[in-house]
Amino acid sequence: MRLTRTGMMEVLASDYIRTARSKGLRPGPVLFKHALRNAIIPVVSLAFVLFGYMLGGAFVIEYVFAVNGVGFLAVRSIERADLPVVQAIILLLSVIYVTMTLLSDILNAYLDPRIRVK
Amino acid sequence: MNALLEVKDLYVDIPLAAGVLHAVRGVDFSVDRGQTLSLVGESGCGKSLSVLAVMNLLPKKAKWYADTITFDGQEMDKVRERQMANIRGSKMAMIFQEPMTALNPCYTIGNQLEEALLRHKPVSRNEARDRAVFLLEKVGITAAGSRLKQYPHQLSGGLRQRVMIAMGLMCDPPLIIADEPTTALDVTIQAQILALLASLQKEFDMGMILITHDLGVVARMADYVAVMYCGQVVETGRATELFENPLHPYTQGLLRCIPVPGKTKPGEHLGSIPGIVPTPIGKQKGCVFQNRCTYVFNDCTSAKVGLTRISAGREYRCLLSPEVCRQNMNESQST
Ligand SMILES: Nc1ncnc2c1ncn2[C@@H]1O[C@H](COP(=O)(O)OP(=O)(O)OP(=O)(O)O)[C@@H](O)[C@H]1O
Ligand SMILES: [Mg+2]
Repeated sequence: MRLTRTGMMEVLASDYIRTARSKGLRPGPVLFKHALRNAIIPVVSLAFVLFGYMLGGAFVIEYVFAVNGVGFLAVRSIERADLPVVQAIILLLSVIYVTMTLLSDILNAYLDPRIRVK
Repeated sequence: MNALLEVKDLYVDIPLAAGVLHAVRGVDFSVDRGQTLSLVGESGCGKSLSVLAVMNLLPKKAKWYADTITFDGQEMDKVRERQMANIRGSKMAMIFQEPMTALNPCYTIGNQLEEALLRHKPVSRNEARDRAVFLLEKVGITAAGSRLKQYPHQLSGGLRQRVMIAMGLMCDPPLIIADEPTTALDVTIQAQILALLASLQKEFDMGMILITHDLGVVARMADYVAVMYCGQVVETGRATELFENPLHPYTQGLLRCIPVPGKTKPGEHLGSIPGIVPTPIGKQKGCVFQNRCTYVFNDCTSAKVGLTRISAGREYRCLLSPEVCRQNMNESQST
């Protein structure tokens, strides 16, 4: 949230916002068309990185509070040396993580034409 | 007959931690259709802020006030931001100093061009696109149709500046303000862009304010010149008169800094103006140029130095009489 705010402030002081205003655009389009898209790009990348941390966090939280979930199951399985379950969970989480990263890249490429490659 | 744009006694203040920065202090200028006014002066003298104030595009913290600003017969100080937004882009457009950062990296240039027209005129997307293609060709971009789909980062600096010019022209405004349109470009492109601006101005019969610190550019492009120093206009006049007969010591100094073919010998030192620009923070007493002027005398440090009018549109801000100023210039040239 704070990143959105500081990012937005930075973007609003930039040259292309002044250009947009010099065309006579109203504050609405200036904010939502020109500023928000630029400000949201770093937020999107960061959100997905944070998602990775959350997967790790889930292990701890679920174990500490004994919530029945993947993390809890994983820790229990490791304790009991239940290898197939551990493997399955790791595989599953890796797939989710990789998919999410891919999604983040696709979304970023959609938002920011500069990182698109032919 | 009233001028297209007439600015009287414009001030811009920027509050800073160290005090109030008086960036523009009482500037007057006017432009008419079909004319080019050039604002010249060294970096930081308040050229950009003056025109940004006219367009009401100053940074938020900056405050501006003026005696009167009339544009197209309308008093602008009474115009509120809402109306101002209707005028910006449609009646006065601006071309910025930095083509690299002045375009939004996230949208195609087609999108950004069309938006300028769609905002002000009841036209369809297709009509807007046709106008964009027409203008891109006018500013010398080939394959304009396919360029519309490109993003700013895919274009070179020269091309982007052409796009900026086309964008300014989308609504066919009577006044175009070009803030150092060529400083970020290399020399060959500079000449092209300037020639382009001059021909477009003729073709569309626009008034133009051209900001620059290059007197060569002024000599080629301007009808009228206002020389600025430290937030004030120190000398104005028709370009030809001002170049032939510069009065203010600062203008004279500037002119001595340009090499003249045939007159400046190879290897000879070009002139320079010694000293540094005084800080524009806080009030100042006397002449703004006193600490760098060769002809400074007692009154310069205390008296209020106003603009002296010589003839219509010809003014200078110095306590010395025009005759003395002229003599000074001649003497400095003969040595
Ligand atoms: N946003 C800002 N915050 C603080 N000071 C500013 C700001 N913008 C401009 N200034 C100051 O105001 C003064 C005038 O600036 P301005 O941009 O008008 O100069 P300029 O004549 O256009 O110079 P240049 O040729 O470099 O473009 C400068 O001293 C500058 O430091
Ligand atoms: Mg400037």
